[in-house]
Amino acid sequence: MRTVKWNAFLSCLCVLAAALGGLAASVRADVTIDKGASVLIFPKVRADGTFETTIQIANTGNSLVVAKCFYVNASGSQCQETDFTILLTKQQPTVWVVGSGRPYGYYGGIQPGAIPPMGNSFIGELKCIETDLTGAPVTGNHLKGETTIEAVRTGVDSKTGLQVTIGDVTKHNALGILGNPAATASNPVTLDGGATYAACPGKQILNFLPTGSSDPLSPATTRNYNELTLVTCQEDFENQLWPTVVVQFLVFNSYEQRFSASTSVKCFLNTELTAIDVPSRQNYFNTSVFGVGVLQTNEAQVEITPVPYSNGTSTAVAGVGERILVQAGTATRAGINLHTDGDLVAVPPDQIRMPTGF
Amino acid sequence: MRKVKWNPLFSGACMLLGGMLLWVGAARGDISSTNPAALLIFPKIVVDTSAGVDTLIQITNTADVPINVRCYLVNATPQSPPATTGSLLPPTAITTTTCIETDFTFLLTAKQPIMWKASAGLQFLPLSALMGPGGQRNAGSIPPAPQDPMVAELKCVEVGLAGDEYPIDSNDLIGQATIENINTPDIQTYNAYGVQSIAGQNNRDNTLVLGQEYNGCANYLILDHFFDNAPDTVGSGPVRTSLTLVPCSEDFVLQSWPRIVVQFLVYNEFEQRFSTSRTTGCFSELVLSDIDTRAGNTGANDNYSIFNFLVQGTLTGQTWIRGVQGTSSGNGLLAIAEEYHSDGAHFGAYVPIQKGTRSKNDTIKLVGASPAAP
Repeated sequence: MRTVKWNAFLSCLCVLAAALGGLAASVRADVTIDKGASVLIFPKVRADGTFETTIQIANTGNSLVVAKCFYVNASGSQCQETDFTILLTKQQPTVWVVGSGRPYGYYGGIQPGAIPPMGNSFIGELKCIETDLTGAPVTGNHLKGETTIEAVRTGVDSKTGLQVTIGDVTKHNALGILGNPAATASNPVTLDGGATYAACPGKQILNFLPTGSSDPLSPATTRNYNELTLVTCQEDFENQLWPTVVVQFLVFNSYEQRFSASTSVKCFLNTELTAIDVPSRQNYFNTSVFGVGVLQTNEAQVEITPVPYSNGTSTAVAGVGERILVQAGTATRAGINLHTDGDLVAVPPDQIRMPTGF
Repeated sequence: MRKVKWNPLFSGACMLLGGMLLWVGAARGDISSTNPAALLIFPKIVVDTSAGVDTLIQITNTADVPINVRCYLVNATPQSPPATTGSLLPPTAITTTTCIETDFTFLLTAKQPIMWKASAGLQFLPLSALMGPGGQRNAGSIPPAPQDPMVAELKCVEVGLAGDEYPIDSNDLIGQATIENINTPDIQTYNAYGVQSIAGQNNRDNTLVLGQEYNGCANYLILDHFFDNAPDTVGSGPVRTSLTLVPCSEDFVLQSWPRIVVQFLVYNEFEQRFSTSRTTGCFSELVLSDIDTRAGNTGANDNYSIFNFLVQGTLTGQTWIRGVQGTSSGNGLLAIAEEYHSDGAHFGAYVPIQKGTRSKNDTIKLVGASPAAP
């Protein structure tokens, strides 16, 4: 039998590396809006005749960066993916409008490549993954992004039933997933908690003013509403497969009282909070655990947690919120990046599988 | 000549170790606007009730146990000449070098969210008189804004429960601020920056060392923005962006703030680079074009700014922001940006990303909870 001799110093190094690896996994938790990243998630993108979205992406690095981007249109009965590639020179920012895309030469600056228009029936998400020139994912952490969602008409949003006022603007930072610069990534992109990429959050927290509550600045004439958008972190663009995730909501009011609700997410969820537990919309101010009639306080927090499947595996979700203030028929929105607490390193880890070459 | 033989396995282990160290090092310098933390920083709180403007401040305890919070409101309103109604609302140019700090303490029960109007404060917290399900009560109150109009920064730090009120290394706080203009109406929300304490590093005194006891401020802030007066890609009117900067280092004991030279590197979509600089103190809020030109949006000045669409010729740019390090202070900065559309009628807030770590630490010197405290 062959005997393997261990060098004590080498063994020590390995143990140290493993320990540091564990530390890295524990400190490098989840999605971020404060760092350049290797994967960008824009959970809420709308170009549907009610809203139009402007996307900004920038390369924060000193060398050329390629990003493979995937629109996921959830406006129909199933999710539909469309992808394209952008190429950014060092420090280059770029911008486009989702509905009209970025035809070659349409805006000034070095052209990042043609970006397809999504027309006026798009509700969904955008994910962009940093790659090399061959299309293989790389963990460079050079990408950052923002969305600006503008209302293009006044009326009622058919998606959520909420009031919309033309010109209103909502701004979000894109969610970034960090890659481990020391790792070699491959397709599928594996959100393993730090060995290759950070994982999606285990828990997200939204502070909100209960739906139906009046605004503290102008109590007599105002109502607050809340919109939540969630997307799954596991996506298979090669086989066009998306998991269905049950999401648990734990709501705490200012009296420390706890309420709960749940719903399921298949690739994309965009809803007013009270529609989660009162889809009939009957008297929802007073019957929903997100409504002012139930919560009885002007402020609440909700913890949003994906529930593991019965076989022990799980899939994380990531998202954004919006507060909507309606005053005498005029609506205004504010974008909210959700707080996150810890990561969900699923077994097996969440993966984003890009289409392979033909 | 002596030849060194490399063991491939050993070399691999070294590379792995190096990579891990880099990865850990990068993670240590984070200040996050999404994770629970021990120190919250709200860069901009604005009150101007005559103009219908106020700020809703939300702070939440994410822990299952009660926590004590000490907050420091840094009033940056220009005092001479006194600010008047509307004068603090964008487009504006405020660079304050001498601020006035006031502080207050309150106790949050387990998982409790609270909210208050900056103008009014909160005399009674929700569980001041009642007892919560966990048998806990709130303590303390929140004073109203010391003046109206007012622009300010707010810092809140998690402190001990046992009466000493010294900072502790627990990361339980999240916060957000919503600036509302009830006349327009329009609202924008941003998350407070959360500075996480590093486990085991807190020496429980009133000097917070960012980069040692707490995560450090980044070397650069990187802001993506429309160049000022660029046409709105969707709506009507030009787009303008204002930037609020606050220092990471503050001395509330001596009421002194560092003078920080801020360097701006601007890249357009042609990969061209421009730069300018400006000095800031305890608070600065500037429309981007006013960083390098006179305040105000007139063609005589803004059209010559390197932050202006007419100069750059592309819709968007990327600006790297760096506080020049002092001899003893890191001079780190934190910022929020506000993007104005429809001639200022609608706006949205967002944060720049952070990059790199500083070789010098930033410090926040807190006023002690009692006169005897150091």
